[in-house]
Amino acid sequence: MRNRRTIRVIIASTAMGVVVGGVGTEAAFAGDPGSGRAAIASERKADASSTLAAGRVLDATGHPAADVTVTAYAYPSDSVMSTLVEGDAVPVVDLSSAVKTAKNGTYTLKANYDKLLTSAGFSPSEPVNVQVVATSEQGVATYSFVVDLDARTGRATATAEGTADTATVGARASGLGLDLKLTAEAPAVDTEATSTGDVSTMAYTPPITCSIYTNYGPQWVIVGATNATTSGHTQKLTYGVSASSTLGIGVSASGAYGSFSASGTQSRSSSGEVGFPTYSTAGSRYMKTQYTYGKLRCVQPTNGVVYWNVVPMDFVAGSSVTAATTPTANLCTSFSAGSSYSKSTSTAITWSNGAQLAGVVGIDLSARTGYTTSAKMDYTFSTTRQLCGSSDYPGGTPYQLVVK
Amino acid sequence: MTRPTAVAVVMLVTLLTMSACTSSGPLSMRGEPAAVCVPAGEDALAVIALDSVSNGGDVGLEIESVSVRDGNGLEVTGAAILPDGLEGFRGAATGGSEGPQSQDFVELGAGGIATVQVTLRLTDIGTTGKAPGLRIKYRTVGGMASSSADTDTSVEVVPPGAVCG
Repeated sequence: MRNRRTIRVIIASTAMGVVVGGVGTEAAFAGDPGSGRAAIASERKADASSTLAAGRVLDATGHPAADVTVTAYAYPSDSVMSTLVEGDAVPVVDLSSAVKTAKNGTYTLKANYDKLLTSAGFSPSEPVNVQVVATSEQGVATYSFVVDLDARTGRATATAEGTADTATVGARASGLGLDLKLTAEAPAVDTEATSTGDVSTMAYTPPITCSIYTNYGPQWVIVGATNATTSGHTQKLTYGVSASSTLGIGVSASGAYGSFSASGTQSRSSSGEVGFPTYSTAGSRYMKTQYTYGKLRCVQPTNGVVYWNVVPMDFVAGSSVTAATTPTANLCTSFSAGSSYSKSTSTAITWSNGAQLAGVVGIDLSARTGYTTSAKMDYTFSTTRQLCGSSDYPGGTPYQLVVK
Repeated sequence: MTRPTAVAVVMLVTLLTMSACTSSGPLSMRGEPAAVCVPAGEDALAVIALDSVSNGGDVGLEIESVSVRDGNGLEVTGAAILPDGLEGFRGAATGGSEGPQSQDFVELGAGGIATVQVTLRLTDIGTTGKAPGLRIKYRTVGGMASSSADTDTSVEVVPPGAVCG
């Protein structure tokens, strides 16, 4: 009989391969509780062409969790996700043969993208939303991240959103590019009792099945912010067609309200342009648009373990603006009266509670706009003003910009 | 070695050689694509110092020149690099007083980050000048061959008194 005590399981996963850039090691928080908490994105990229993910499965006390089934699959593209209704099966595709963790909790998932290329509902030009799933009689853990496939080179690049927590796990990993923390509520694992032999690839295992259990409808997601301490300027955010947001995923062993925890990210794209108001006065504001979110019920058929995910499903559009706290930004540039500046926001900040779902699942999830150059900020200056970045000069990777 | 194998090896070596020749080099742009517009002063000049570059190599770089890339109606009258941590003009300024008067560069050390400063002149003071970016020629300290890197901030300078946007 399955133990239903809920104790956190941690899985540290490292994609083996060459770091290809964009690696961040810092995670800092600027306080703005209640409406949006900004974290400098600790995005990590790694070559996932051969090895999709590797790492260790640990139990809540940090001991290795052996004999745990680990697999990975891909969610379908935005165009498919947007059509699903409650009760529909989610046509996920296996990306790797299932393996069992070794005595020391380690596992390696070899990537197999061939199925994607022949599956309806997958577009090679879109980011692939991947989920690694670890299940055993003791519980379940998942982590989601994004893989970009380059059809020309055959190269696959994994991008995982880091946070303060994952940075901690990353420090324990082997120094490679992708450090993931997989968390889910799960029963305690008696590592001594469950330890078995070496990591092993399992014989054919039926694919995980997931279905839409609840559609929570449109939810507001922060996609940007405008900040100023003065007038004499205008600023405007445009969330363009195909602008992508990297949105947090929730996972739960029970699916009950309040039982979800953050578990990685998926990428979703807008199918229309959202124009936000132009602002010309002092003040800071969050810009929000809407994505629908759904609760998925998933089953690992090899052991019957059930788990639940909350995922973004479809771009809805709409715009909403709420007050924010002006961030500290002291890396300044000067713009003469009459000048203008426009900057893409493909390297943007992560709003750690930018997808405000606490009302429906008990936890806010993260939101990060960027990933493509389709979201941009436009500034015009009628008076000579300073434009200041919070972590770099505006011409670099400033994350947050403030007109002073 | 069979003939097809030999041909394949030659092709591979050729491809690798071509790849090395087209390497982007250690100087790279930081940040995201951007666009800047600034009115020229009565001197027909404007200063732009926004592009952030980094030296990803393990030896210093000597900048040789900065020029307008595929531009129309603009020329560079001065250029410099301003390493992070040093005071100096960053941004977009009307008139040339804030910018470099000639092309004079400090060395960009290994791992260094700097802002590229350029003073631009309208070749016709009554006509807007535009360029999709700048081209930076450089070489490693002690090296012989030059490389180049292109910025991705598009530049527009409008006549004196005009307003951008």
